[in-house]
Amino acid sequence: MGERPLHLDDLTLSRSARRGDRAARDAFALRLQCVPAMLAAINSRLGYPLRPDELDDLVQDALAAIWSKIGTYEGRASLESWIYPFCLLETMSTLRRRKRRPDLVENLDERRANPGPASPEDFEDVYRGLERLSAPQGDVVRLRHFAQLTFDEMAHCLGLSINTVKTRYYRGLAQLRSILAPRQREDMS
Amino acid sequence: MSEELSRGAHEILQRLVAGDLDPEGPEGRALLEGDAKLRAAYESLLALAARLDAAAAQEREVLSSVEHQPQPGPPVRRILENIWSRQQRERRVFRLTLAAAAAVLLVLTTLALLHGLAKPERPPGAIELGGQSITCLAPLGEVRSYGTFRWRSGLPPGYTYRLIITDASSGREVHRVEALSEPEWMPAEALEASLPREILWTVQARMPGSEDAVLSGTARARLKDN
Repeated sequence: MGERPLHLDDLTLSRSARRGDRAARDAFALRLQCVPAMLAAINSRLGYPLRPDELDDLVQDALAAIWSKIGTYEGRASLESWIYPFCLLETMSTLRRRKRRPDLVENLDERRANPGPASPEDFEDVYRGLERLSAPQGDVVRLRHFAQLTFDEMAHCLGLSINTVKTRYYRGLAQLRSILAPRQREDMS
Repeated sequence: MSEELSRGAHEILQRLVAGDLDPEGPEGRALLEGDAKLRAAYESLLALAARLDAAAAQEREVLSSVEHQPQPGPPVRRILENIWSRQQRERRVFRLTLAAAAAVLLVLTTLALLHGLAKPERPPGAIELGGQSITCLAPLGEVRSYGTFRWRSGLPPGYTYRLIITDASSGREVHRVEALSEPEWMPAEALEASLPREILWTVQARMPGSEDAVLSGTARARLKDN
């Protein structure tokens, strides 16, 4: 049994665009129109720490990051879902780089002093941790929580036995837990 | 977590997180209540799963909010075109650099091969002297006494010589003289008397300011039996 991509159309599109196919690149550019919108939505949820011109710069950075990694897209998630972590992590990296600016530091301090509903930055470490998981375990954890697949469905789409999927899921969670543990200790200190 | 728990505990945790063991059922409850470490590990995994669900929920929320909204910001197409053309340029430069490096390597290899085939015995730093080497003049063959060591090299002034005398029967070095500026050397009487009955002597010519031997010559000499 071989592994089957869940989003075959998106995978085909990304591969054709990567090969330089003109029509595929047109379609790919259309699909990536979601990037500015995603970044704007994340910026809004963070309390607008980035000005519109900074957001424009961020769009360029995010598109460059997405394109540089497009070869790793395997169709396990929709293209938009695969793109979202890039938008979130690029935003957080930009904010971190600009943290030296007093207004931004004040905003972040204020946010931490008055925590409201969950913000995208609260999950930055989760996404960074997921990036560090080995591919077989990371895939299963993502499919379970982000694509909300059952173990049966995962076994079917990955072409694996259900026991293997469960073992990978448990190991992935345990590994992610140990990746995030030092960060949480740092945050608490 | 993993280093503190037994293999059995990991198996129980896997059954719990995979939904094969009900934490509220009699078996699950008994296992969790009977082992504080196991319970703590299970709770930390549950908390992590909840964070993953929350991150996923927020992601879905953002994705659905952008789905039906007019797309703001700079034209994506133009930015992507810039990225693609820059990438193409970089690839072209990389290919050209690679081709140039390969060409240089090929030329250097060819030169090295030609040089190596033409002069296989020449040491590094050797200079071309029309194939001339050091000719040992005396002592040579059977001699009554070793006397003055003399040689001819044809090297211009500035080169120095090193003379090494070894015992021909054992191969042990018995004397060495450095930095001779003339093509001859006369041993002191006592030293000459102490030299073995049969010797090999080697003269090495050295470039000014260098340790590299440019040329060398070796000869054998043997004292006559009375």
